[in-house]
Amino acid sequence: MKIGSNSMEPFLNMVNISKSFLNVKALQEVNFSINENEIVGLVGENGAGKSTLVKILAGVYKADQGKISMNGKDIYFNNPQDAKKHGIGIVFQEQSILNNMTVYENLFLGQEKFFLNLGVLSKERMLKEAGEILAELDIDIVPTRNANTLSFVQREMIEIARNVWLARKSNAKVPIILLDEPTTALEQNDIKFLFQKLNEIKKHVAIIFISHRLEEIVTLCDRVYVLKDGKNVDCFSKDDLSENLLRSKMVGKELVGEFYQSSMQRKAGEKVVLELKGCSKKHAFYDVSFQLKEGEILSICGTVGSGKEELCKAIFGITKFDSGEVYIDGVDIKGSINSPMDAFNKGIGYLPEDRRNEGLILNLPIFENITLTVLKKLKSHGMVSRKRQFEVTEKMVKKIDIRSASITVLCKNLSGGNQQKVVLGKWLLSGNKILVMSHPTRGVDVGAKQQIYTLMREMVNDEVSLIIMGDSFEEDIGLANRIIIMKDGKIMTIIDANESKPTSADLIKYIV
Amino acid sequence: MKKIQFKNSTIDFTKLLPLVAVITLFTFFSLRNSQFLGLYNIGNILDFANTYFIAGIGLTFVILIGSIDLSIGAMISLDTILFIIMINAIGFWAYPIIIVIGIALGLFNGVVLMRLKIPSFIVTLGSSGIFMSLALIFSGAGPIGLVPKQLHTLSFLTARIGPFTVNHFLGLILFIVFQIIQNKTVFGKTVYAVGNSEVTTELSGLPIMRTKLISFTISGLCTALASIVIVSIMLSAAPSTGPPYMLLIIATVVVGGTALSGGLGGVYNTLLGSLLLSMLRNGMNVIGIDIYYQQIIYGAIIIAAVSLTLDRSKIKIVK
Amino acid sequence: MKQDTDNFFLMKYSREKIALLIAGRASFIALFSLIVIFSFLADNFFSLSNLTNILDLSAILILTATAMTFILMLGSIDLSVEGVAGLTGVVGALMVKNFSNSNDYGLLSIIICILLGAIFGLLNGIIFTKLKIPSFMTTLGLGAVAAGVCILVTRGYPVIITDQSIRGLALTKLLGGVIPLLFVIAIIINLLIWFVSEKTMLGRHVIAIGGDEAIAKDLGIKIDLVKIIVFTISGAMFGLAGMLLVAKLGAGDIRNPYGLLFDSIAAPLIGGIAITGGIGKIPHAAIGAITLTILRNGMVLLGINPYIQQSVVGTIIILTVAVTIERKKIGVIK
Repeated sequence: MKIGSNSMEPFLNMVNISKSFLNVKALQEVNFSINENEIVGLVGENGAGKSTLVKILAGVYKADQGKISMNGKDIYFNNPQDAKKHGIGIVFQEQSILNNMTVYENLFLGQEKFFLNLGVLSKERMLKEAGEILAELDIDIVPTRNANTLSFVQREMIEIARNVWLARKSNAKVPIILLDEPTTALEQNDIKFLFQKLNEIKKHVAIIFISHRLEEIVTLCDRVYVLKDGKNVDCFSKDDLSENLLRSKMVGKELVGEFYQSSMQRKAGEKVVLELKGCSKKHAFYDVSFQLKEGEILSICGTVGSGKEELCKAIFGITKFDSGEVYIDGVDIKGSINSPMDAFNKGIGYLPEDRRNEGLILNLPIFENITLTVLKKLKSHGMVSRKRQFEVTEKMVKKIDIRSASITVLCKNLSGGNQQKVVLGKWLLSGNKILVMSHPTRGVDVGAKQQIYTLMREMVNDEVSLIIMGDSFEEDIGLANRIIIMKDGKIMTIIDANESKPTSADLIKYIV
Repeated sequence: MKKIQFKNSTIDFTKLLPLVAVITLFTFFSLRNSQFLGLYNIGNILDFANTYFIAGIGLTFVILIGSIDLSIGAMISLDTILFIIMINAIGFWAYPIIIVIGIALGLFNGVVLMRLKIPSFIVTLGSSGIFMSLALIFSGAGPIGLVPKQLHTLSFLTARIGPFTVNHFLGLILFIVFQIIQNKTVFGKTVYAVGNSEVTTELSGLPIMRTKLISFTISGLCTALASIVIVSIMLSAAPSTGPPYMLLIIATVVVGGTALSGGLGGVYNTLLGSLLLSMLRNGMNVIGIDIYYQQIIYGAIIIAAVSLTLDRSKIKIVK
Repeated sequence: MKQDTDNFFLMKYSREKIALLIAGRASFIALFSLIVIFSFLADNFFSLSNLTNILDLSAILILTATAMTFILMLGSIDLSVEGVAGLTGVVGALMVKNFSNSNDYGLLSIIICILLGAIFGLLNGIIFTKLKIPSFMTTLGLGAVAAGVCILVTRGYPVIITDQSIRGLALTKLLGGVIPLLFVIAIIINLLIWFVSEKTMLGRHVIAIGGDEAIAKDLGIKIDLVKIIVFTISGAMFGLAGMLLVAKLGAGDIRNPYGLLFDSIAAPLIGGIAITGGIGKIPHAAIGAITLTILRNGMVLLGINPYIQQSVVGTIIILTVAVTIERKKIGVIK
């Protein structure tokens, strides 16, 4: 392991940090450190633990194990306010700038107490200090502007300025700024601008930079940590850094084929059940075209900002395409899908990523949830027959092995795996032949995961076609007949995995 | 799958508690004053409960989907006034026409909600102004009495057998009909689904807007039916008739155990709530509690009932 | 693509921009146009006596609309105005010289009214924040309680006051009999609250909470405390309004504030305050109140059926909200 030269203790040191959520180990004994005048990068796949590590540092989460020390002294954060008092500030992708206020008001929001004259806010002092911090960081924005006239990168600069100012006010020796995917929504010019600023700022500030865009990491960072599956993989200094090296470290071991039931993989049929031609949605994806064949598992891969989630939502009618054509079974549907109900009626289904809030009605029992899609068909004498609801539910529960004391158990009392099976069961019952699955095995234990993979194989054997967005490259590769790779809203390539499976490294080439 | 047991203690709780409360209150008042059990008194209790209940059915559906209808008071004013005017003028034809009008008013609320996409709170606040306006116009801002020769068109509703009247019978029928609609139709199940998780319901391909529209229409319909009952008892109508009912009907639904957050409770709960409120009102009179304390008690009860039934896990930010 | 980013901002926040524009100008435009229209249509509209009349009629509404606006900026609502104002008015009436008892506390009564209103506001705030019951339910319930106490005290009968100095408050007109004292008091309070919202920490926090409560919380703002304070202040203003109503009408009666709730909500909305919170400025409440009063006054002078007035106001409420609401903020519309 090559770590940048620090013969003395780093300014901020995180040692042996572990954190679990329910039963999932997000971080296991991770080490991380940073010094003044450094930009340290943090890379890893989705779910590698980058976000968790950074949130622990920002005081949003508390580590289960390990310690954090600053300037040699151990520190403990109970909440984000504590972290801010130590000079640590985080700038998230979803920005924390209020649109109904001006720049200077946003800069000092929550800290107005520093500008009070007998209880009255002194606008002059606020403007003066705003001017000072903006000048120091060389940010050319007039403090009296309204925040809703600013561009994305300008808002990011204001957030950075806010954090640096607060760190100084708290007498922190070195402000530490965490940037979580700051370039996702930015144009090339803005990115160059941002990097220029970061390089200027780093003289007095330590910056932690999380990004999936390896070319940026390589350009900007002095050191880079690579995380995988919640553990440290390696740490590189600028001299040894290259995109290829990072890629290889991020990916690690290759597939365990049988886990994904690859032997059950069937060849897709000839019929094209769904086709998109030139579909676009502003600020999400552009000129997307592909075909989905009958009985096929098509996986869409891409990291943050790729547009895959928005694409799937548009297919199911949750949002609308701005332009392009959609064909179902060869028929042009001419923009007739304007809501999820329309998509449902056209034979499409959707398994949302957030199954607790979007896939299930937690306060209702299993049988009500599963039959939600087929209530109309369970009528006898014009009314929904509970008897038929039960029959149909019992059959499905047996088929997909939902483990619960009875079908009247409320869904909020089921385990993650069983909950997901209920959602799956709901769609299986519906009889819809095109199913979009967003992270179908997220938060599901290993045993249930494998069962779900088996179910998916059985489904496509019954002529159902699946579009999936998996949790990891291995999963996407293991399951798919073909893999669509998206980056920054465009399809980079479509890889055929029917005969031989690609490796993760093959995929990463296009993604980052 | 062996025996079917309902593990959901929350639902049991909200169905059980109001029932216990009704029985307790009944026992309490009966013991305090023997007059409470008199035929006339029981009839009186049933009359008020029936009115609260019928109007409450509509509001129940609206609250079950997570919305609110603040125009009920104004609708009652308008409906009672129009009904009595029509009874005076065209006799029995008033019945079908007022029902159509009631449905139209409810439909108005629903359509504005759907098209303009603003909170039901605002829609019904605005429409309450419009309906009250119409009530004032049609009545000339004063009460309207029943023309004596039309008495026969209404009297059959208040004909008594023991403590029961035809009105009560109407209430009973509506209870059965709407219980069935609520529990056994696709619409009813969708209402519960929407109230519990609108997002999930929408993502399961169910018709959200249509469900909301129908719920508000039911509210309009039930208000019209309640207005018929009110006029049959009062034999008159005035713009001031409606507003007092606003609070009472909300109390009926909420105290019965239907949660404001939606998806919990139902018609059965509203029935219990109406009995509770009516007994409370009557009982307080019979044992001599100052009528003026009563409103305070109503207000406090509403807050308590809402506090108990609200599902806070569903509301992240309380405005 | 760079243009896209700019357009993006124009588009994404266009609803908001419209709201800001309206809040800024449209209310003035509406007010101005109404004055012009009515001046032409009704002979006696632009007379000194009528204008004085308008100022007089609008005074109390300005007061309650200001209070309501302060709460609307949080993103909440207060439906207890009628109950609280009715109760404080009656209590105040019983404390000054009146026909029902031998009290004679004079101006001290006004202080008591304000305090009583503040107490109800405090209760509203505490129940709202600690029990987490939505503001419209909390204030609806508490308003009913206040009304109930009021009825209890009066048994339905008005409390007629004989204190001439209190009555004088409502009858006094300054500047040579043109500008009613009540109007001046209301405007002063409106400016006071405006000052608080612009220049104090509390005011900025209110706007932040209305803008995005989650972000405000993340930045360390004490949400519950701010909300409780705002409701208490509003309650105090409702309390004052109750007493001023008594001064105006000559008696304390539960029916005094009837209609005030509806108008207190309509006035800020007409003035361009967004129902979702965080947008608009306090003086717009005054503009909205005056506009509404002029609307009613104009319709009366024109001989328009008085009962149509509620329809007009109701429709305006629906339309202004439909235009200024920020749907992205609400998510699911209930």
